[in-house]
Amino acid sequence: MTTTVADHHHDEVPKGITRWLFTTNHKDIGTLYLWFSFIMFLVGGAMALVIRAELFQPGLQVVDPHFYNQMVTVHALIMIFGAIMPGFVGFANWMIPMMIGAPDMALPRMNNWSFWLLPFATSLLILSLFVPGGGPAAGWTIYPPLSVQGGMGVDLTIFTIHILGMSSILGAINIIATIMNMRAPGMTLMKMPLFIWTWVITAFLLIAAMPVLAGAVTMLLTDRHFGTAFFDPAGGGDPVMFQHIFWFFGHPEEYILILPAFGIISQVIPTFARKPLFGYTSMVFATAGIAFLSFIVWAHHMYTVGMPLSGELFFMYSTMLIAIPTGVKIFNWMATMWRGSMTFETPMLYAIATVALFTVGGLTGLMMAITPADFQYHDTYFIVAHFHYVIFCGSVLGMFAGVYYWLPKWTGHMYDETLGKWHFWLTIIAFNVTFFPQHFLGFAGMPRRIPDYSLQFAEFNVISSIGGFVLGFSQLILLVVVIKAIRGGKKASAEVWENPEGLEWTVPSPAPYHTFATAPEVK
Amino acid sequence: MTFFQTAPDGRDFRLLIRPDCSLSLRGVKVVVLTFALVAALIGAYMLTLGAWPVLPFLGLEIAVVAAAFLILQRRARFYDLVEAKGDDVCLSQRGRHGEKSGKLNRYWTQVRLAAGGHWYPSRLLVGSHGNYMEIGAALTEEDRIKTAKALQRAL
Ligand code: HEM
Ligand SMILES: [Cu+2]
Repeated sequence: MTTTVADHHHDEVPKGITRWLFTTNHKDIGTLYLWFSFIMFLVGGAMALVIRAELFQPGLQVVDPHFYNQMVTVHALIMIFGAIMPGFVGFANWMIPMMIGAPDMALPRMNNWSFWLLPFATSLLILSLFVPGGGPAAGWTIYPPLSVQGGMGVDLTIFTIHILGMSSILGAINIIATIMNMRAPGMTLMKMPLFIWTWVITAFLLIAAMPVLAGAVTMLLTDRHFGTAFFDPAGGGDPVMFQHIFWFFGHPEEYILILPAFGIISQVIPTFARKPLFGYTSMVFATAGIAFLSFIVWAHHMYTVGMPLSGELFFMYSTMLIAIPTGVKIFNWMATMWRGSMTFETPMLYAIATVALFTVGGLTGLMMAITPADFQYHDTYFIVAHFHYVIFCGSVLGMFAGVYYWLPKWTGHMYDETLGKWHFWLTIIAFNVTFFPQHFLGFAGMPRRIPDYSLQFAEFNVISSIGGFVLGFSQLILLVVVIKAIRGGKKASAEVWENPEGLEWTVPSPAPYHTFATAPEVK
Repeated sequence: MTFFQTAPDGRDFRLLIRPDCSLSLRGVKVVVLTFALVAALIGAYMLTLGAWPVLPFLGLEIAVVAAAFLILQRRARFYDLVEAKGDDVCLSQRGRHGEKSGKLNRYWTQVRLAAGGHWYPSRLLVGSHGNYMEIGAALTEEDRIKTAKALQRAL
């Protein structure tokens, strides 16, 4: 008999655009998600700069108010649904199979689908800016009656949200199925890396929350075109009902945006502190606790709608409870670093900044959780400062930590540490220059979502706009870093970092088609 | 996972490959029922608000969740089997496209591991005279290489 082992014909490697269109490989799809996320980050960022340019000075200078409102709305939708959520799904695609010892995602063809729905949906959203009447302008929360009165752009937005929701649900099902079904023998639930745990819980939140959003926008659509009156008091409906439904989705969504970032920094911090993660079990339970609580706090977004006192109190106390599991996580990260032999490469810098600055947002959240205080803060720039501290410093910085941490694994080359440090310091300083003054603006009473403001707010807005432009352009450094690492550079070893934990580091870099060089052994 | 058994004579053997499946059928039921229960609770709350259009989306989604897990349970029954008896090598397979089988002459049987190129997985091919069947597609790369070597040694 004859045998030929390892014969190096690269038969049937698809080339060009069809490779990407029809791929079912988790590394291809993860790459697509990550690039898509980055492009959306730049598109959404450009919109933010339009906003900051208009707010540079009081008065109307750059755009007309209606277009300003569209920018505020579409910026948020693109960042949430186009940049952050797909970014984390990209991480999930790349890392989950490697971390649990599986050959690929559980449902590879569905995986291809869930990605390709995204560019289609976001194109519709961007297209809506060019139809008669313009894009959606009621804010990302699309409250009626304003959203019911909007033009055709709102219909495109509703359609976009349906498709994006479908994509997220399919992605979440795939992730849950992969983690539940495809773990290598020996990888029991309580041995899974924390990134895997946070993704299981995120996927669970997605599956629970997304249909609610789909239903909410469907009701908007029927109110707009088919004569129903779900949200119209004239027909017996109630616009406040929309807020309940929207936030029933919206608050879990906030945790969908943050939990995978918590997972990433829980992988990064132990590596650079050279100590195992402190309190693994409590981390798992804290994450699950946050997820559970996220379903019973939604009305903290609507304290001012005139709820009964018992409602105000219930939502106030339940919201304040979130501080407990969140605090557990923050103290665990600090305890992991405590007396570790730390080094400060770019991923670690980003992870530390995530812990420190997310906490600022957590604390302002706690301030707003107090109902009577929130009557003052509600709909001011204080809210804007809060959610940028949690979303940018939590989700985005966490994602940056992950990019620098795993980039050598993905490309096979070390990134440029000097450029990485520049990116880090410019981002952190510019972020705080942009958003810290917004706390003061909010205290002073500057409302959110307005293109013009009274003169007493001028100074802080100038500072904020300057910071915003530096922040925006600094992100191009990341693009350079990534392209340089793809093109070449110092070869990365399999382990890349010093004794990192996890199966993904047993694989050569760039992660080849061989997934394991020796049988994965789960400790 | 690969199971390899050799007959006492050291010549005949049996190689069985099955996909990893860390969730039992009972586990599937628990997972799907948990999702259904949560969806039912959310649906009930939405109904009390009067927001019944949420319900079809919840229902549809639970159907997709159940379908996904059922597909995976079905896939757990896939296998590749290579049996060598005397001068014959019998191949049989249950996969996505149903069942397949074939018989080869042991002396002509070839084992090929076609490299995937770039970061794609390799393919393990068994056959003769330009006629090959792919096995081990459900394995991780490492396990597939080990299986290829074991098969090559045994033949
Ligand atoms: C640490 C616990 C947190 C607490 C106690 C908290 C509390 C709050 C409260 C009370 C509001 C409503 C303020 C108002 O409109 O009057 C709010 C708004 C918001 N929070 Fe948080 N929050 C927390 C964490 C987060 C996280 C982790 C995220 C997302 C990653 C987030 C994202 C948002 C967003 C986007 C808004 C504004 C929504 C809008 O009106 O457009 N929050 N938060
Ligand atoms: Cu909230």
